[in-house]
Amino acid sequence: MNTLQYSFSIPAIVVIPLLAAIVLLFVRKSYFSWLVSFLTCLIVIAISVYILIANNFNTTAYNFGNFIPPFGIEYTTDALSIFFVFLLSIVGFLTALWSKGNITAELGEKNVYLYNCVFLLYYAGSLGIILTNDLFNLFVFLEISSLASYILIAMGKRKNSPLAAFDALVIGTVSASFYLFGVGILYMLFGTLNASDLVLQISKYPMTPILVLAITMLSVGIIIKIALFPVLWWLPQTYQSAPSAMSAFLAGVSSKVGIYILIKVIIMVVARGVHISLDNYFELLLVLSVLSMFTGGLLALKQDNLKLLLAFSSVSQLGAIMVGISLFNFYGMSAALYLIITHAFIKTALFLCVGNLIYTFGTEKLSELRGFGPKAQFTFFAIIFFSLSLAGLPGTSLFWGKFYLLMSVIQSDNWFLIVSIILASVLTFAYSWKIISQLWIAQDSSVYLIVAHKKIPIYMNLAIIIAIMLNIYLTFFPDATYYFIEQIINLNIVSQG
Amino acid sequence: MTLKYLILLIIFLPFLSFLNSLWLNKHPTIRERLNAAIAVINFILSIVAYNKFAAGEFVNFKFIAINSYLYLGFYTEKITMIFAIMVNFLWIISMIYSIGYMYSHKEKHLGRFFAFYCLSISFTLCIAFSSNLITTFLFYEALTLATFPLVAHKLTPETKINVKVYLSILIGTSLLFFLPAIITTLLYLGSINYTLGGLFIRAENTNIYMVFLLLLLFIFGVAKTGIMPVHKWLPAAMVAPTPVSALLHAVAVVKSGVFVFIKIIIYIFGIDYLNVVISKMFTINWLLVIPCTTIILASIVALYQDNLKKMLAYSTISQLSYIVLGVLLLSNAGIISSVVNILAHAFAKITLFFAAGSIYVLAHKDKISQLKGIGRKMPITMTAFSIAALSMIGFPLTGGFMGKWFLLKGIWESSQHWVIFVIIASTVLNALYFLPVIINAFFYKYPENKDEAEVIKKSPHMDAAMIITAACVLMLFIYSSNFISILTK
Repeated sequence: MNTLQYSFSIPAIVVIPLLAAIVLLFVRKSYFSWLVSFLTCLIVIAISVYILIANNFNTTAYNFGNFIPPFGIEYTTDALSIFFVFLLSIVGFLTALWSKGNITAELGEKNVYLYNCVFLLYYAGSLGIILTNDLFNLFVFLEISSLASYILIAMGKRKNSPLAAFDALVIGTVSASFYLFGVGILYMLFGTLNASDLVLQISKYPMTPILVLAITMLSVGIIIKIALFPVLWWLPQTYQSAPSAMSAFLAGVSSKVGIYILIKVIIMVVARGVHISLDNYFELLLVLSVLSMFTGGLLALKQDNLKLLLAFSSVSQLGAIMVGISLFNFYGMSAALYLIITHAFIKTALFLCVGNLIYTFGTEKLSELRGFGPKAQFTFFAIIFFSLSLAGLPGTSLFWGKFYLLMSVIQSDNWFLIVSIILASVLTFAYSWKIISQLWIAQDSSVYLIVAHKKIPIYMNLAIIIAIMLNIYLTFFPDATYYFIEQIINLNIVSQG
Repeated sequence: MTLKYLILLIIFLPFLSFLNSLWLNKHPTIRERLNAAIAVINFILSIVAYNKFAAGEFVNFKFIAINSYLYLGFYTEKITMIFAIMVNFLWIISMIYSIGYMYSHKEKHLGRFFAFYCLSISFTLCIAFSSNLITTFLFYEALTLATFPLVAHKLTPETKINVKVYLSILIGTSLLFFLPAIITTLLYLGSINYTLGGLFIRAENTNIYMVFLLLLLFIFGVAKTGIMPVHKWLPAAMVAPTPVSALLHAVAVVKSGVFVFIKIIIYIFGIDYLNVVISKMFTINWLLVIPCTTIILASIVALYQDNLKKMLAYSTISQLSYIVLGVLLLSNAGIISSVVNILAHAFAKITLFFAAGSIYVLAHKDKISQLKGIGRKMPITMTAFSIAALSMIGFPLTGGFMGKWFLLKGIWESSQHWVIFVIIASTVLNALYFLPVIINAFFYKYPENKDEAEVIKKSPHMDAAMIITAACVLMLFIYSSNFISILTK
């Protein structure tokens, strides 16, 4: 472990958004609040670039208050966490840029500071989860981000927003309690909360029923957070009822953070420490992932509400990502990480496009939006582009992830899995095609009914243009990202092969 | 200029006309002149490239690499160069034709039409030059997508249904069969580059049943070859304007499908290796049953079509299987017959479609039953049609005869004698559905209907295009030996 010259830059990633959120509570100017949240996102990107350059994928630690790790709280950055910080900060940057044009119209002038303040809290919480190396600290940040997300969901101006926020609160609390219970048992057994220390302690300890209980509790908590098969219903509801900018941010990062917790806690701590092989565990995870892939896909196919359709597609895509992770080999893991980043950008951009539609036409129903193309051309082409990308069509960024996923699946020689992955990708095509055909080809009389209320502000289109450029970059130069991913896998997450 | 940049230019110029057509949407005359100029330049460039290649130059370069085995790359080889010249030549002619067609028919959205037309050409050339399976696959899919706005051009309810069939079959088969087959090959052999002599010959302990399964995946995965039962997309694509059917769905798209298939058989499996596999598994080559069934069944279906374009589509399906058959004979003579058939079929089928298009646009007829006596009113069109139809049947003095001749030679050499009966039956069937059209057109009187005050218009653009392609059909009879000498060199 080498040291960074300015090692305080690691906590700065979390502290700056937190401080900014507090500042906004006192200075309640709407333009100022937007500027602060936008600049915070930019600063976080800059710091993570600095850490990446200065550190060259090495692992670095920062001890809070100079307490030695097992006792004090330790923040670490490695390739994995920097990867997720990048993801979060870029998605945050896109939504912050986009929200400039939209939030005032959607939530009203006087709520803008509140939105930005809570957004920054959510942002800080998610970044904290990624950087901390302490399992209890992780729980604290989980709670910060969850609480912020309940407020943001409740801020949505829809009939079902309060109810969705309440649902999210209940489910989030259940998830966090399971996680806390698991961490509690681990603390009881080993007397430590530091992840690196915990690996050593677990490896000295035989496998006992109480440890199994702890792992189960942790997993259940994390699975609820990711929204895997049995508990996926809360996620689409949440995405649908939140304000447009927040749905985009949630769709991009919320479940991805859950996946990060899974990699950090289960794969990098538990699986490394325990003496028995976790093959059965990952097989169970695989079954759940395949099931959520199909449930999400089939439900997406039935939706008329574009936001719900995209949310269920997220469930399906998360299933595909989890298949890659639970295969637990080199190709699977790199496919999962590549899918995480491409899916985050594509899904965020799609939600932003839907936000554009809600802004101009005041509706998000496919049946009411038929043939809107000529009236909002840019949004129309962006939606077509991102729907094709979402389908993982050859020649789009997601395709490279799909390719690796298929490679890992075929390598595993599991025929059932091969067939289900191929069928699931056909399903993805089907619902992406539904979007395209409903919006483009199914032109009928309703074309003339739809009225464009407002012209879209430049900020909103700019965010989508940046997302398109990111996608094109990932399409044509996937090698840089794959190099990054190789560095992550070099952390011995899985055996190379 | 080195060959590398020449190749890149050949691929880029059609893309440039794609951009042109979008940009110059409001200046149709400039747009069309520029596009025509680009097409001519591209044809000249492809001949220059061929000469360089024939002089012994060779390129193989890669770009967009993920890792050492997964990258996009282009390279040059014999069949590609012939294919590129053919596509570029026919591009010029069909540009001339489509100007005549689209203006006579008063089609809308011409900018979009010409844009995607050129984009499809660019992707076809990319497929031709691709040096590994993943590049082929990407551009294969891109071609499907680039042709989709052309098929959906009219946006009528009928179009929507057909577009759905078109996309679902082409994308479905490539996702269900083609992509898994590519990935399996990659994992099996560690490489997906086209290699002289095949990749499988190097692999140790290959399971022959696995190889056979993989071969089947490739045969049905490359649905652009129009093999039955995944052929339905081709008749569905006939809702497109006729220039699209003519260049893309009779030449560029289907030929690139066949071309991919040839490349897979020669450079991935290897003819020698497949011969060993087949001889270990069967006493006779049962693989040939697949194209043979398609040849016969498609001809029978064509016999019952009344819509001229649908009939031509089924005839295309049947003729494409000649090429697949030639490849699956797994001999050099078979491959040569396939290349000759590609050329012969390309020129003849494009002429047929041109004729069908001008009958539709100028005389407003698209049913075979309406064509009585049309030959007297449109002599140039129907003469071109007849020459091409005779070539389809395999009449001497046409390119089609040479195709069938070499195919029979290949069949004889690989001693699969039963296939000869299939070819004879198919020839009879071809004659049965083409000859009545010709006889009806020339030996009956045109029904003079006084109510219809319609006059059959003239279009010099379309006539010129048809005369050139029909002449090429005849020339191919004389010059096909030149192509063969290139191939066997």
